[in-house]
Amino acid sequence: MKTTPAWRRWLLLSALFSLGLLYIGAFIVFRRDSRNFLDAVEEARALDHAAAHPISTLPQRMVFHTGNAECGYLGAGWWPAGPDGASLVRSPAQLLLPVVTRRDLRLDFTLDAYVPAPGASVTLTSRGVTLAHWRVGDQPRLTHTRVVLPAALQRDGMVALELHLQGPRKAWKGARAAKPGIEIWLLLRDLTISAADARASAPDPERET
Amino acid sequence: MVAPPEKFWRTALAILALYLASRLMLVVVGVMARQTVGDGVAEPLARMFCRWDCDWYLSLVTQGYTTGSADGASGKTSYAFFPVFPLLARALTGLGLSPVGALVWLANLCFLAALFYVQRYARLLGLSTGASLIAVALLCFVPQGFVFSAGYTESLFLLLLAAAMYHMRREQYLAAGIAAAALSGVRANGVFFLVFALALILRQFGWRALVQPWQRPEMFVPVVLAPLGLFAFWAWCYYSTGDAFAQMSSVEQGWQWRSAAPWKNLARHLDGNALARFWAISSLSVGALSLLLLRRRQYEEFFLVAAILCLLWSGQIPNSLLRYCIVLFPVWIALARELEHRPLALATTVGCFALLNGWLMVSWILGALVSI
Repeated sequence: MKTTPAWRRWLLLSALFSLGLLYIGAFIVFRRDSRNFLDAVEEARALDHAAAHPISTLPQRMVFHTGNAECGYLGAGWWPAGPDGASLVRSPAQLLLPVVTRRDLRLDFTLDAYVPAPGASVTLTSRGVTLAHWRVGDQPRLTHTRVVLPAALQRDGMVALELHLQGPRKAWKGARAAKPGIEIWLLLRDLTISAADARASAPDPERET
Repeated sequence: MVAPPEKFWRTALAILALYLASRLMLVVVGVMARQTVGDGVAEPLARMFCRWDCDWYLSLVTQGYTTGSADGASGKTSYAFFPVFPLLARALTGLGLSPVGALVWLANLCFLAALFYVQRYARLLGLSTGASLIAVALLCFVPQGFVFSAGYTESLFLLLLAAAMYHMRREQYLAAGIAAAALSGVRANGVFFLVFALALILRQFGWRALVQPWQRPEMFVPVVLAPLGLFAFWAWCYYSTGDAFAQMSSVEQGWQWRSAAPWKNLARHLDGNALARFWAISSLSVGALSLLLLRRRQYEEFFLVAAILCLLWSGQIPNSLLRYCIVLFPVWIALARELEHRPLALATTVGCFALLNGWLMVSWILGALVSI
């Protein structure tokens, strides 16, 4: 059986072992450093759109329906907008708004959450700061979706928002969604941005429906 | 296990005849379907075998990988497709072939070569020449077997799987390793060759061989090389997009692929529409036939087939389950062994296979989803 010299067997085994270690190392690096490329592509496209289409007048109402220019502000994590709005494909979903102002802003969302499982919730953040937290109730339409964004969170002329889904989810196949078969967890219909008054400038991070 | 001597050329001619007869039948069915029940517009032969995913491979041959989605921003990108098949087709275009022609020629050459490997493999398992040719015939006429001539990866996958298993059994470990490495660059489930290789080592050399790899390290060459194609693709994706798992990202978002327990998926498919039921029943039939491998104590082949079937069933989408299953050639070898001395059963089986294949070819020509 053992006709091969021992040194050759050990050399081959070392080479195989090294290749195995290389696989493990590469996999760890890939897992740690990879970012969903579709998100990166969408984020880059949204940033380009935001740079070319600054929001200079307030209030501004944006309706995220098919074909509307404001859909360009949707970054990573969204399906292409449909006739009823833009639905989330992956959490978190980005919204990049180039608002040319240094004032506190009031954001009024129309959001539907199709996550009827108990304990599901939606969180709105900006640059890591929680702005609002909504528990999903019996009805899909989220209430109390008026949020104040402090001027301190606007940097480089950009309002960067992220919507996060937490807890158990149950997808809903929307007949009127952007495309048949798309599973909807969260549907962003529209957003109105206006200047906040002084009394409403503090965000309420634990506001619940 | 020692095969009796046979006349190589006679066997080769038989394989070639089976290949040509089955492909001729498909071309006739395809042209007649197009002319009689289709739109009546004549179509180049190569283009007739290029539908659905073939267009993705075509874009890979002509443009390489791009991050742009096919329809807006849905996530359907060419990164969903593995590189070895389009890379080889691209090399063929250097010989003056059109991209479509290169894909179809490549598929057919791979299929023909795969038939030779399958026949040799069947002989290696102790089948008679007649039984091994029955296995070849089953592969030629298997339902949806037209994809072996289409711009799809099935023929290359079949060739590399058969080559890797053949050389592994013959203890030609470097050749087996090279084929296995390429296999995982054709489709992710090629990595499951590992199951076969480890099971074969365990059965042939005992568990001591696994825990004392320094005794015969050469037999682990195919085991270690098997994931190389997959890792190379991941590395390329990481380099070009920053996402090593771009293939999975694209498949999940663009094609809504999700995984779940195989039994739950199968129950859902069987409870679904006619298409889902067809694909589920087809794959279950292949699964049932794989039990014949146990009867013949071909445990290594059975574990391989079972592992790949479980992976296929773990997807929540039933599309193409039949197409994915027909490359599991050990099943056809096992069936051939059973049919060898039953001429009526053999004629019935091949006849039914050919009928179903013809029906699916018509569906393919007409662009029906069942042929996807």
